[in-house]
Amino acid sequence: MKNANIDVPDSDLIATFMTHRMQIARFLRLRCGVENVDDLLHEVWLRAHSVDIFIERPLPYLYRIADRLVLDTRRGTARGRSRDRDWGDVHDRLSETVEAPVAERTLIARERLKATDAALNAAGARAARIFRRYRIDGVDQRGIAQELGISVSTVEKDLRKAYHALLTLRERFDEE
Amino acid sequence: MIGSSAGTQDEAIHWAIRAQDAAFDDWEALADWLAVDPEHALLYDRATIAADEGARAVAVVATRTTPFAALPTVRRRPRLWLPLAMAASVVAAVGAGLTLYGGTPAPAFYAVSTPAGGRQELALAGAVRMVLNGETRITLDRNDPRFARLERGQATFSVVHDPDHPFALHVGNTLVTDVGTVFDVERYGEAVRIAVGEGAVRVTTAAGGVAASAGTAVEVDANGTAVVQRDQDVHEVGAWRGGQVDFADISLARLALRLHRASGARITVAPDIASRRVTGSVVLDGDRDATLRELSAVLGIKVALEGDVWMWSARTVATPS
Repeated sequence: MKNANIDVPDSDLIATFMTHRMQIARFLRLRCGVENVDDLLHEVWLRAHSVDIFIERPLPYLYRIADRLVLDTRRGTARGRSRDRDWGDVHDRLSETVEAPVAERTLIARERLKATDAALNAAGARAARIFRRYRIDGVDQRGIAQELGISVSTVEKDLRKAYHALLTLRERFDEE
Repeated sequence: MIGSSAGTQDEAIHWAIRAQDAAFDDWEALADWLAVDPEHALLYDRATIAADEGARAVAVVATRTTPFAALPTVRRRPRLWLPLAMAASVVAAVGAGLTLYGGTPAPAFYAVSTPAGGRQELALAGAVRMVLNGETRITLDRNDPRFARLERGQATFSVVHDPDHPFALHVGNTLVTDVGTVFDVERYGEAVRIAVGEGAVRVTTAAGGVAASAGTAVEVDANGTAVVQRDQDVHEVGAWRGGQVDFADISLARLALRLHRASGARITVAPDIASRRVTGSVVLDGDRDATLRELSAVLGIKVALEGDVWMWSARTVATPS
């Protein structure tokens, strides 16, 4: 592998998409509970085009794009194509990273911030730390298990505690 | 509220967690589970949203679990502090390590990461250029192009010095600030290695600071102890960008990590040779497998490919009878 940008076939990802698009469409339909997923499928295809790094396993990567896309639409911030030019954004979306919400200075947001942090810490110090490593730093469960010298199933149990706490909290927010 | 069984919600959480794992590839099975009942999709949706919102909220914290006092203090934009009472309550709310500046935009963090064997070049506001090696992750701030935090992996930086706004790179508990430079930073577990090719940097740890100029490397171990090495070849700084992996007196385990980062190759090192020190240079070019096999001669070890994992072990030497 010579210099930075990379004489790698970016058509791998697109070729995989063309071969498996029916499967991905099925996933989107089931994930969203709707019949017509043409727009979403097209958006997956667009996002696949803007990937410029080598992807070792294209099919899971495409599914991840699709899953991430659905999450973005739920958040009401489906990112438009115009932002694809922004070098940070592609990796931002595709590497599951998080961005601090600018609005947290409002009172409600600050209260929720406090409550979220408290809920996470109440799940346990280790669970909170593992959640951050997993969701914010993007380390996989095996990696976390190695770092902490514990088993993968212990990592998973801690993640369940954290997710459960956040889900309960969110249900509370939704009721407010 | 959904009148669903707790069991189904647990399943949804289980899937939401698994699907988030970088190594997850069971998407068909997830689709099949979603197909069983529309409620499954709903619960999965709620679980992923809850986790995503939760992560965004706690990501406001600038550092993770390091107590505030242990961090070197860096004032990125010396302006007004928030009134003390408000500052105290927000710090308490979001945990340790958050620094706030009244009147300037709050940090808007985002991260860029690469898979093993990948590369990414970035430029921040023109004056900071960096190249990320494979399996690397760096956190940046949209509202401050002179800030970066290397979470894992390795990157080489070229910085045009600005005395009013030095570039500040955080690596664990170590801080590297530029004085007009080309420098390379590599994380290895909790240790950090900074090698300077041009100009100079200042490396600050909990124990203090040291200046390092071209031809010098600083190795900071997990305890924050810094060791200065004055025999760094400036041409080797960032040479990995051209596919060259240099190693000078490092353990085989560390070399395996460097090769993995640069090429994506998965390497397992036998425990009895993992701490053996080696020196040399490898160019990853063309036939990667042939190059990796040649390491047997270069390193004096046994190299075998089992499935898609390279196994390094001790050579058994036949003793003359």
